[in-house]
Amino acid sequence: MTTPLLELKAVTKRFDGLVALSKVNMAVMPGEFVSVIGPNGAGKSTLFNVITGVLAPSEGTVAVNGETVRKFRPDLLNARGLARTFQVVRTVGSLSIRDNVMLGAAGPRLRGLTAPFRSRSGEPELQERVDELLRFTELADVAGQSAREASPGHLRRMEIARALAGNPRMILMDEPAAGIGADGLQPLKELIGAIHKRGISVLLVEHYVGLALSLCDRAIVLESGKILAEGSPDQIRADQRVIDAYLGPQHGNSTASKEQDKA
Amino acid sequence: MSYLLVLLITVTILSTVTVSLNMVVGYTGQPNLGQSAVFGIGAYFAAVFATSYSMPFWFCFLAAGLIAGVAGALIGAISLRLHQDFFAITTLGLNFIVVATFQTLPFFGGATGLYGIPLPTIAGYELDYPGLAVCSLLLLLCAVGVSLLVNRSWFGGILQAVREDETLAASLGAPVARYKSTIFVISSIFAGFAGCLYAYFLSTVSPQTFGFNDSVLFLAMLLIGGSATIRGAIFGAVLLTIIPELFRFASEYRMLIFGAVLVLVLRFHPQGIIGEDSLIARWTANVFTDKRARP
Amino acid sequence: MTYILIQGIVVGSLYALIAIGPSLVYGLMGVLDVASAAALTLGAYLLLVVFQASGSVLLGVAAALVLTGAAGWVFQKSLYVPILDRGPIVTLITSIGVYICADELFRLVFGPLQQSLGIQTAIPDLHIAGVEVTGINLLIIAIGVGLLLLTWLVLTRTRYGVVWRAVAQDRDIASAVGIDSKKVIGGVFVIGYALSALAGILYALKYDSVIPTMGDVPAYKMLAIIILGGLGSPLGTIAAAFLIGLVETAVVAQFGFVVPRDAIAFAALVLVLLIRPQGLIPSRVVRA
Repeated sequence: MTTPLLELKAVTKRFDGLVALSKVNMAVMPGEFVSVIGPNGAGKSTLFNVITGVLAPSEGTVAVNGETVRKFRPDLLNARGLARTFQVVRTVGSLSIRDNVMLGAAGPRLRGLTAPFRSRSGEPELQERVDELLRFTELADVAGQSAREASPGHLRRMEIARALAGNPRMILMDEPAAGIGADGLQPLKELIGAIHKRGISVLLVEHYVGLALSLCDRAIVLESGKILAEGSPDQIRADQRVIDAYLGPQHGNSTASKEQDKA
Repeated sequence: MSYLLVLLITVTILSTVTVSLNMVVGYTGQPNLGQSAVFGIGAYFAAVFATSYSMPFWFCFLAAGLIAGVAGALIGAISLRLHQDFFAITTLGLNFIVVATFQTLPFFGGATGLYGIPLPTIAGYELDYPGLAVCSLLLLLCAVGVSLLVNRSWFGGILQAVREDETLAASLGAPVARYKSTIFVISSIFAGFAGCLYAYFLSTVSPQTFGFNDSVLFLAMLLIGGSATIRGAIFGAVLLTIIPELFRFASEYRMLIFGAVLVLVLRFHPQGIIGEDSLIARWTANVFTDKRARP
Repeated sequence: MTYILIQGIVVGSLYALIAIGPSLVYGLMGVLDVASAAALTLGAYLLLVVFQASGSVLLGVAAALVLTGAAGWVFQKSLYVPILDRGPIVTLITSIGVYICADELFRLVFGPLQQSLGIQTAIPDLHIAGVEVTGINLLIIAIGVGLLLLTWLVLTRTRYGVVWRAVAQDRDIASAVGIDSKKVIGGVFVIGYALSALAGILYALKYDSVIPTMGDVPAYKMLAIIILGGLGSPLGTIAAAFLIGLVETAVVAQFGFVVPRDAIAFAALVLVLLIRPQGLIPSRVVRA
């Protein structure tokens, strides 16, 4: 019985009377690729924020590696072996792409009194790891460029490299395909797939159902804060409840059609 | 000769203050209008210990830095969690309050200040201007060294992230509030040390020397020279100390010219004279790449 | 007690006049304009010059208000609007630079010494609750209270107020509905600077003195007042101005001249911010 890397038990989140998440149970095992999909307003962002420590659940528990999370703070994510990307890429414009990626490994090096003052250019193993990640994300040529001048495509890959720099066991991706053009989709899919092949678990929260289902081992469908369905990609694709949630029932319900327009 | 020494000492001490200010402004991007206050706290406490308690130089020096550091921690605790504009005005206000305290409490000599600070002695050897010049240069080198160390370190890298995107910095594991506070304290300690040297140099301290006008001046030096760069900090201090001396004959117009230069630089070349992305910086970069291009 | 109340309101009214302009400006642009205190000095000197040349107080006041308002328009067009995107440090220090230049110019042109206006205000003194209130103080109180009511009226009931609030909330959306934000900004500077000039005139009349440094203390104190009132909230600013006026007067009356008067506003600010980091009346205007 392996311990799940991430486990949510009966997680509920309320905002002033609005129930965003209701008794969510889910688990991600080591090495697994789980996609979370769902129509707009299903609670995907809230779920993501609870897992990454931005929000604390109103009820229920979150456990990482078997340890229950007591402090919900975004800066403790790295320490737990998790890494995240942002829906809108966040960078430090004044630093180079390489430096940005390097900062992904900052977490453990910021502890203690003297460690933070050590040079970022030390630790040959770390330097090699960063170089390898830059090659992996095809950023080696532009690594010296200032992040301020990088293209959005470069920045998206840089963000992924940064997330991997800290050697996480799991990477949490928040709608990485947001705003990406049609020709960016395939390279992104290959990159995320390659990350999974390195043995890192992936939790992908995504709006593009096609992308999400083509990559994952298992998919979870959220609707109105509850888990609607869970299973393999094929099962989900065939699940009538999921189809109804996204496309509206066969007879055409007005609210459901609006969901379809939004999705 | 003695005049040049006086100028050198003044410039080095003030450069130390601007370099220390750059640590806060460069890394938190917050407009700190209170550097003069910590500078003054260092100067005043050194003066008090030297005159009323006849403590030796090394004690006054260390005490000045320590107390200024504590003051920095307090100021930081109050202001760093505030929105940017609040921060500027709060630090300005704290400057006011500190100066008002110097002016009212008899402990600090009241409105007339303290005078008669003896020459510093190190290992029995009395330091006059040449000795003070060496001291100030060493302090400046120290401040620059620490700045460079921080620049290259994880702490510095994360602080840059804090300045540009606090959410990102937090997700990278940075204890944002604590780090902002830390750089503030380091900056204050150096300002305090500089204050101590200034007090010994002038052999008097008075409240007017450390008012918010001087905080503005330090920030102006930093901005005109090139903010967020160490070289800009030093250049700004040098420029704004030496130019008025050169234009002694036009001393009537000094403040006007200062104000005009400040406005013109910020309006038309806000990167400062030798800051990042300034004309001079780009020109020097071009010159060097050209040299490499030639076979 | 009544004396403190009345004096406090007088002082507060003057502060309100000086602070309302910068508060409106901040709400629109996120810029802290220290230079508007120069408008105070400019207004006083213009009154002096025009009065001495023409003998007419009315002409002097009119000239002061109009010319200072015009100066405000010139400043924002040539200086502030182009540097808006450079961040708060740059704009704040630039405005301080402008203030320094103005201060020095006044000193060079008019000399550093205090000058007397030589104007008699023909307003009678009054007895209120056993305290004699001089005519000029009555005028100031009237103007101060009037300003409060006027601001509230304009902001909430008139089209101008709606337009200001629209641009303050979101400049892009405002222009999408056809509001010319440049005109609004220009207008706010004109009004703000004219009001500052009015404050300068009132100061000069009250103390019968015009001196180049008369704007120094108000320049920085009004920043504290703007924050106390909640950045970007004009009504809050006026309220804070009255509050500070009252507190200052009360403290000085109680503790004599031991306590430095100008530090009081800042001490109050620090205290309030310790308890409420958003200020007394948090601004409804969201600044990015």
